[in-house]
Amino acid sequence: MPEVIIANSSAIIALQRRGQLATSLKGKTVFITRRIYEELVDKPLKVLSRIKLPELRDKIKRSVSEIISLIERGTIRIPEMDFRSVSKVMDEARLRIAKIEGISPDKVKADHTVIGLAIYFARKGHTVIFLSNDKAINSVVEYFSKREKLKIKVRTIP
Amino acid sequence: MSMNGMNISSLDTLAFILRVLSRVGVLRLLAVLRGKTMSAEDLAEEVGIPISTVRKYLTEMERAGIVEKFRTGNATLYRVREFRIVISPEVVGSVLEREKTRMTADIIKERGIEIVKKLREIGPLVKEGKLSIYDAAEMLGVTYVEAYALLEENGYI
Repeated sequence: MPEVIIANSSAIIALQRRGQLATSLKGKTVFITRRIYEELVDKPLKVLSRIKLPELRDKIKRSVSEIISLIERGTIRIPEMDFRSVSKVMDEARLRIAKIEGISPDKVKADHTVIGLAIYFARKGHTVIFLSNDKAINSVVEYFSKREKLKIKVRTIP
Repeated sequence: MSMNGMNISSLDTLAFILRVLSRVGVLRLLAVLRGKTMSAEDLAEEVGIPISTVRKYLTEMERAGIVEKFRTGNATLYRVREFRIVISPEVVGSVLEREKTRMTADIIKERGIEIVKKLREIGPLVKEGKLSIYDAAEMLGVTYVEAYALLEENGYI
């Protein structure tokens, strides 16, 4: 089974801020979730017109453009998948995040679907490289990986 | 240039680290301190540099992230942080890229100084893994991209 690379928002932004997003992902396919796309593309685009400071507007615009371009080239992909098989894991992930953060589960904004995506591929027998600089998310992924004896390698961007 | 565990986010920081490392006295201290923990006084005696100069160098080395200071009882000791320097036009270019992406000042101008207060409360929680960056963004009232920039540029990621 081939390795599957999954990146959450933090990894994409970390690479981008180092000017290494396109070069690091060259020749690779990285899977993200619809939620990550919303965080990195849809939401910034929505607020863009309200940002008064041109410098800030330009930086956000550049970030969004690069991600859109990588999606268009097929480097970053949003898999169309049936999340039903991992719905229980995602619910549990949300509960675990809520517990870590000390808030009620309905208040959690963290992307629990990316955890579902990693588990989905890992349960199919893939080795999953999970790129993330978010310690809270990483701890939940590592918990599931250990519990289900899955091959998920959590990697942070230095 | 990359230095393990260091966040070189601007050319100013890079130049500062290189400036500190350009002093022969600093390099002597590094060589002696390698693999050991020592006080400023012991270092001064071993290297033969006046204690006032050693203290000045150690302060700069600490600011540059080359050494770390810690206390044992009443003694203040120093040790070298593991680091490796690789410098190339590409790496300098990537530091410049990172500098261009700095956003804290822009975000403060756009959203007001209040965001700094919130960041001081929220940042340590992210650093400890007790809060996800998504939820930090929500609490700060900014986009994910801005939240990441604020947290990274202020040493919380």
